[in-house]
This record gives sequence, structure tokens and C-alpha cells, in this order.
Amino acid sequence: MRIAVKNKDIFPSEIRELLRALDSAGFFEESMLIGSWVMPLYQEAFGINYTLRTLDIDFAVKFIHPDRDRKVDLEKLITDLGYLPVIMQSGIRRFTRENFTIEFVVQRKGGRDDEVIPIRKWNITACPLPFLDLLLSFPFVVDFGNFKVRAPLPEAYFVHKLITAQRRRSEGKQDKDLEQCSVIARHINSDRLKAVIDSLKLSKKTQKAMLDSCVTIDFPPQRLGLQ
Amino acid sequence: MKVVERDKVISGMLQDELKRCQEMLESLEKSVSELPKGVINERKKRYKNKVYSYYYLKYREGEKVFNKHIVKKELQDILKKLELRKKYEKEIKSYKRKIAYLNKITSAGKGRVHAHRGKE
Repeated sequence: MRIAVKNKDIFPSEIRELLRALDSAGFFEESMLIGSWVMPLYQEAFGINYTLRTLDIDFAVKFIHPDRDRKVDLEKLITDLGYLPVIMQSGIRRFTRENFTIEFVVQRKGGRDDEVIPIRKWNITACPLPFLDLLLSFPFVVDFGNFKVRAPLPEAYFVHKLITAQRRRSEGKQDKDLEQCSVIARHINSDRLKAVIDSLKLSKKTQKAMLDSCVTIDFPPQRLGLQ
Repeated sequence: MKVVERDKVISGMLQDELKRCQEMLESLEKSVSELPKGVINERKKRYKNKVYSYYYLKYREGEKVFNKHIVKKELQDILKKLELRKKYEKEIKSYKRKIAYLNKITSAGKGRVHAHRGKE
């Protein structure tokens, strides 16, 4: 799905600059913007209005075998924008500028407990997280004219948050996840939601997590095929 | 406008933001500790009608001031690292200010503190 936006100024100029630079490097051909900064896109494209934003921006990286494609130095691209690389205690490399942080995440491989995954194609490191493939499998592209941004469809974001909210250690993050879900729930497209659900093989634990989230936000679990 | 303690989501976000800033500060301080500090001074010496330049890194450790000789081939690298250190120090200051601010507004029971939430 490709959507051209009328309002080109939905992001602050610093974020627009970052997104444009990533797009020019071909980053959004397979990888995507995730986290609370997708909300301005949802507002513009789907009328979903959620105004809280964090001061960090996350990108889900599609893992590609290092030798398969040309390499692009994203670290240089980002530091050229004035960001500083910072190695965190976990070994992950983030970028920061005036309190604003950039982080990359990648699908966690089953049975692995790595804290850092080097993505050689982009010269970055990414934090492995579960269920990211769910987001990466259901993208839409927002066209700003001079650049475009890939993000997950709201239905995929919704299901992802229903699952991950129950795995959060921080109560604050869980509340935020579920608040986002309850806002998106009012704008859910049933066909797209069905496509997302049909693509998943859910364990009992995951189904229970989704059910618990549904109860909290008062969303009928039948719409997810859950009883 | 809503009172922080009455809105769990905003309060949680502020707590998470504080934690993120503290983690960033810790890592930034570690990064900066690995970079040289001080300023480069040039000293000129005349020898047999020729003028030679020598470079020193002048820095302070507690009360003491040190002058460390820098060989010419390392000069550019040291200058780059000193410049980078300045950027890290600026970022550290900005995180310290942010942490002080977040500590102030997340301190429970210390008066009525407000957080903005945009119109929804």
C-alpha cells in the first residue's frame, strides 16, 4: 500500500532530515520506521490520532545476509547529520543528538539470546526483539514527494502491541502500548486485521497475552479469532 | 493539562524517559573518558636559522598541569579526538539538564507538577 500525504510537515524538521537521509540510502526499501514516531503517519494516512511521542526513534531492520547486497555506511550518514555514536552497556550502538536517540532493532532468531546483532550491510548494530517480522511483513509506504517512509500497517502494529504489551517489564511502557492499541482499535480495517492474524502461528502463551490485552482495552477477541 | 500522578501513561513515559537519559549519560561518560582532554599548544624553536614547531597536549589532572609531547603524525588524530570530546561533553551537559528536569517533574509528592499533553 502506498499513500501520498498532503501535509508534508507532519514530522519536526530534524526527523524529516533523518528520514530523508535514510531513504536516500535505500534503507526504507526493506526496513521501516516503528515505535511512537509512526503515529504522525497513522494520523495523516488513517486518521488515527495519538499525540504522545518519545525522544527516541526506532527502526526495524530487515536482516539481510551481509554478502548479498551492496554495503551502505549508515553510521557515517547519521554522524554526518550531527549525531554522536554511543556504545551502550549491552554493546548496542545508538546515536544521539540533543537528547534525541536513534536505535535499530532486528527480528530475534528463535533460541538465541544475543544482545547485539551486527548488521554489516548498513554498518550498524541492532537489538534483537521478538515478533518484529510481524511488522516487517505488513508494510505501507508514505510518499512525501521528495522522500518516502516505510512503516507497519496499523493492524500489524496493533497486533504486535497486543502481544508485546504483556511482555513488558516496565508498567509505563505497557500502559503506553495498550493506550496506543485502544486508539488504533477504533480505526481497524477488518480485512487487513484478518490478513495479519492469518499469517501468524500463535502459541498458547501468545494467545493468552493477546487475550489479556484485549480484556484491558475492551476489544472483542473474536475479531482476532480468539475465544 | 493533566497532573502527572493522575495520568499513568504520561507518568510512565516520563519515568522511562528518565531511565533512557540516565543510561545514555552513563554510556556517554564512558565514551568521553576514552578520548584525550586538554588543548594543543605549539612551541617554536629556532635552530641554525630554521624554525621548528613542536606540539604539546596541555591538560589538567586534579591540581597538576601536564604537557605531553605530540608527534607531528599524531597531531591531526588528536585534534579530531579533542573536537569529538567537545561534542560529547556538550551532549553530556544536555542529558544532565534533561535528567535534572525529569527528576524534578517525576518526584512524587513534591508539589503539583504538570506535564503537557497535546490535544487529542
